[in-house]
Amino acid sequence: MRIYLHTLTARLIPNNSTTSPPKDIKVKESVDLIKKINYRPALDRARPSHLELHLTVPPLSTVQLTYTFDKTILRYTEYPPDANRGFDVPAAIITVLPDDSSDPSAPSPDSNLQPRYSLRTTTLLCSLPTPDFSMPYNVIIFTSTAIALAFGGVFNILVRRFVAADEGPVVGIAALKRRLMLRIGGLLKKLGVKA
Amino acid sequence: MDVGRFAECCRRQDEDRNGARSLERSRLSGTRAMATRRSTWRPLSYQNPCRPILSSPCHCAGHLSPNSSSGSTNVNSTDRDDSTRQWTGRGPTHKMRQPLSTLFLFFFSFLSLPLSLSLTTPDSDSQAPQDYIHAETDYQEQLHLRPLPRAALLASFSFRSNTTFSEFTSRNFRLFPRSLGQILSYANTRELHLRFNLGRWDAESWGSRPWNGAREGGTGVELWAWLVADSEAEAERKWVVLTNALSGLFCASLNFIDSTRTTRPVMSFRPEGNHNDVDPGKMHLLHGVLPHEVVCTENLTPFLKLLPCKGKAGIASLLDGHKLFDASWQSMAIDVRPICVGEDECVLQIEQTIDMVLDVDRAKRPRGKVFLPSLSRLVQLTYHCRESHSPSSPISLPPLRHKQTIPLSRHLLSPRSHSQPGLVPHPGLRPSPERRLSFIQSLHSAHLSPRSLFSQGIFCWRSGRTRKREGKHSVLPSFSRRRVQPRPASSRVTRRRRVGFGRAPDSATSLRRKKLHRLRPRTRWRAGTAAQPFEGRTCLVHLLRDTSLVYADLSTYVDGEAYSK
Repeated sequence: MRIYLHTLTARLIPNNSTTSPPKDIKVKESVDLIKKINYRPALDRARPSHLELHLTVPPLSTVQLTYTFDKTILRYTEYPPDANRGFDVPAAIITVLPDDSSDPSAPSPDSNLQPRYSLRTTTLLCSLPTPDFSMPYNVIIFTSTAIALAFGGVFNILVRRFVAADEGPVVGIAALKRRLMLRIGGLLKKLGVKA
Repeated sequence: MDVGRFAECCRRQDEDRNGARSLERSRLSGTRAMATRRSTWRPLSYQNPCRPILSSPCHCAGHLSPNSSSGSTNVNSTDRDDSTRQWTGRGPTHKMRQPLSTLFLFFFSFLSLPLSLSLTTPDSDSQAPQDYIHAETDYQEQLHLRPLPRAALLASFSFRSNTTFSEFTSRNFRLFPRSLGQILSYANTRELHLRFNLGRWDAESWGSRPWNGAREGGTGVELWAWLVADSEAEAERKWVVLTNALSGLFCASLNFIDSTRTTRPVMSFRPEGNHNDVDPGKMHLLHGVLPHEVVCTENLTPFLKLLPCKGKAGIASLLDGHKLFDASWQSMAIDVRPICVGEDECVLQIEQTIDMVLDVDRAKRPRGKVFLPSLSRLVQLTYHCRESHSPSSPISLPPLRHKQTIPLSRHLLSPRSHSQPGLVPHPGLRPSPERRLSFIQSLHSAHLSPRSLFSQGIFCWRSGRTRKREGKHSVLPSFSRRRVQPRPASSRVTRRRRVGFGRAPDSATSLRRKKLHRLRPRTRWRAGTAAQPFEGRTCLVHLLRDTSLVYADLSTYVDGEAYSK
């Protein structure tokens, strides 16, 4: 996620006006709410986006923070195995500071400035544009099938030995009789020579 | 309180005996006594961790509710006195058996008495959790149960042990886990926070978070630490070392916290410990999250192994992975921070916390047998009813007015209480009418109806052991009685059979056991049967109902000796 920080707005919605129509909602400017912003933009494959806000939230009110962001596109090897599940965006940490801490980032040796209350939002599941990881599988399956079909046919044709139907010896009673007569003739010839 | 001492002894025992046998036995009762006696056989120069048991006041007597707004009670003084009394009262037993050991024992007692008193006096009034500090090595553990709406129960386990810096730097690990300590020293880590979280805290129905959210993290694994490094690049290197080492230690994918997942928060986090001795410019905070990590029982096992007794004794023995990860919300936290009490001595404190929200209805579901099997080994409930307010605390506990010990299971697990939320009838138990009557009468004296008490789902548990007898589960009321007098071998056999096995052995077996018991030292026999490790463990459960407060106390003695004051 790449945050466009210039789109960051904070809207203050008083809680007692939730039942009233939306046009009555007073929208306060974000300048009054946000005291300090600490933003460290992301570098691809080096560091994550990091945004810290120091807000002053009036009592009985709701603050909406909105910003636009871009989803980065990862290299295909950088996706997890369950890429279509989405990507977990870590929980936001909300810390309620004690009253007397005007600047929370200032290094103070006093350790009594512990946060009064802290809570984490739930983890956000963000679905990034995910390539169709089944496409290579489909391609492989399809091409393998085509190759198997083509190769099988060609190989079958190339390797098979074709024999003409009339190349073999004649089979039948006449042929048998002829062979028999030839043998008998041979025997007789032997006998005739001997005699 | 002195469960921690016991745990220390247990650990020492483990190291001494070099095996699982002693751990197995240490789950049972006599280990502490055994450890005490063993300690007396050592040369005097040996620094025995069991020594403070004999004399020092317990440290964890103060009770801190996970939700600070729900009020807290203090039973410090009573607990402390009682634990002391308990141990000094045990002296004559040993004396009869081994005069030499007793001599050493008393020597140790007197030796350590002034030391421990002087060390524990300054902070005895403090209330905050960070203030339970002693400039010495100690250990304490707490379990808080808080009922939540819709039959949910928040169980907060807290284990805290300290080690002094001098011992840490000299690598003399006693209660502080060595495995983690070496990692910390190798990675130059001053303060470490590690969180394993699952589920979502339903703030709308459960209210504010335990520990004000300070002991939980985001879903998955969260790690942040303050490292001491000269430059950012060196801090990064140390961070990689730290994450890789912790990954191996906790069986989690912490090694995937690389630079693409590491942030350096500026405003969100503050060190919890004292870092006055380090240049602030050299302290680097790094923070990494693994939201996709699934926390499961392979993370619980190394977590428990950091404890001195490794989950074999104390309240950690209640932690069952099947129940913990069946919870609606659970959080495991490890916090290591240096804390300085005065200007001279600092301690390194490790606090391990497990919070879980149990769904009682769901826990009831399987076969309807046992309520929360890991927490069901409960025998006794002592509750104290108080009727006026004391000036000390905002919720204010007046002096004890009424005290009674009641076998918990016979009342709470009775068939009548089946309709109450959070209760399951125990199949083998039938409460006697007079006992139930007395229990209800005592509740009325506290301006509470039993139904209101039960509907709050508030109980306090004494860990005991149930046994099977004639196919039924029954509770051993004699289990927590102390046996002071040594008995002849034959009666020991009888007792063992009655307590431990519930099966009448044949004559050959009993003869063999007799011989065995003659051969065995006395300590092993004690280790095998009695329920001494549960002595001294105090668990407080609060029930806030309007302004009247009843707290149930996991008493140490059945006969109420612990509160005889």
